[in-house]
Amino acid sequence: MKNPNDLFYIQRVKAGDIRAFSMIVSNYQKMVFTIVLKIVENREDAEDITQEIFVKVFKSLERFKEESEFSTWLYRIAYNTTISELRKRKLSFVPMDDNSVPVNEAVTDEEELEPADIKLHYLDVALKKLPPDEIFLVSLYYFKEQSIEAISEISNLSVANVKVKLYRIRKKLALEINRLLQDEDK
Amino acid sequence: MKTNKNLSEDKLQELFNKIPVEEPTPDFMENLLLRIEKEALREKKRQQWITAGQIAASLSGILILPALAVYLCTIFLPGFSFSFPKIHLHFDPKLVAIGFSILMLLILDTLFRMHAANRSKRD
Repeated sequence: MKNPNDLFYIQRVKAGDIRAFSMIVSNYQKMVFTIVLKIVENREDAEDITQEIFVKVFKSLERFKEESEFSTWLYRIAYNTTISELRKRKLSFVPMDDNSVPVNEAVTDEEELEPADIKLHYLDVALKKLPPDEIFLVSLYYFKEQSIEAISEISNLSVANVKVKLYRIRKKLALEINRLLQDEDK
Repeated sequence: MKTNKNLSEDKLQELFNKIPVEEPTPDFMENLLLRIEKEALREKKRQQWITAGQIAASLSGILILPALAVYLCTIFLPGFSFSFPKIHLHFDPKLVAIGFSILMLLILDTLFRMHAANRSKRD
């Protein structure tokens, strides 16, 4: 569903009111930043990439067709920019060895975290083991609750391909989290 | 402490719902807007160069090429002179040549800048 507020501010920006762009940024910056933060190691890099995303959104705004869904269009730019910035800056992480659990992963003190928080912590750990594009896709699906069709448009993958990818990612995450939970008990 | 095991896939949605939404630092927006303003200014200058280039290209077609043709005629056609006796107007062909050369250099410079501005947009 199109957000009429987005269209209003887009038209203002196209008319030359640059400050109106801040309203668009306010609507989306937290979600974009949170997803990017799941992919990169630190907040500074996540902020740099998020800024790069919104600069590209601004520069491309003339080409946005107002019949389309703005959020899908924005997340497509975010997806492509994140992947290309990671390649450019060589920020992509090396997945950890599947057979080892780094010390800071396992929660050793049961009193540190509640059980629900432990799973959340392990979700974070499991996410970081995925390639950046998979983190982005699964975040869009579960975190942003985008539809499969929207994700297909964002990632330029077919609907069938997205379904297969998400299925595999879910399996990987569940397996990894369960492995970490079982290791904790040992 | 044994924790509940075997996270099922459908519980993933519940976990994702608990992920806290993060915020960039407070000066993120201001820095972004400053950058956007610089980009907007660059784009404005780029458009100005493109317009100047288009005008220069039009001028070269309208004014310079016929004038250059007249100059070439004074050199290659005997008896042809670059003068208008009825209105007492006479031009030294060498000065005409220098004037055309300077104008052509200015136009080429403008066209070059327009081309550079177009390339920076593509980049």
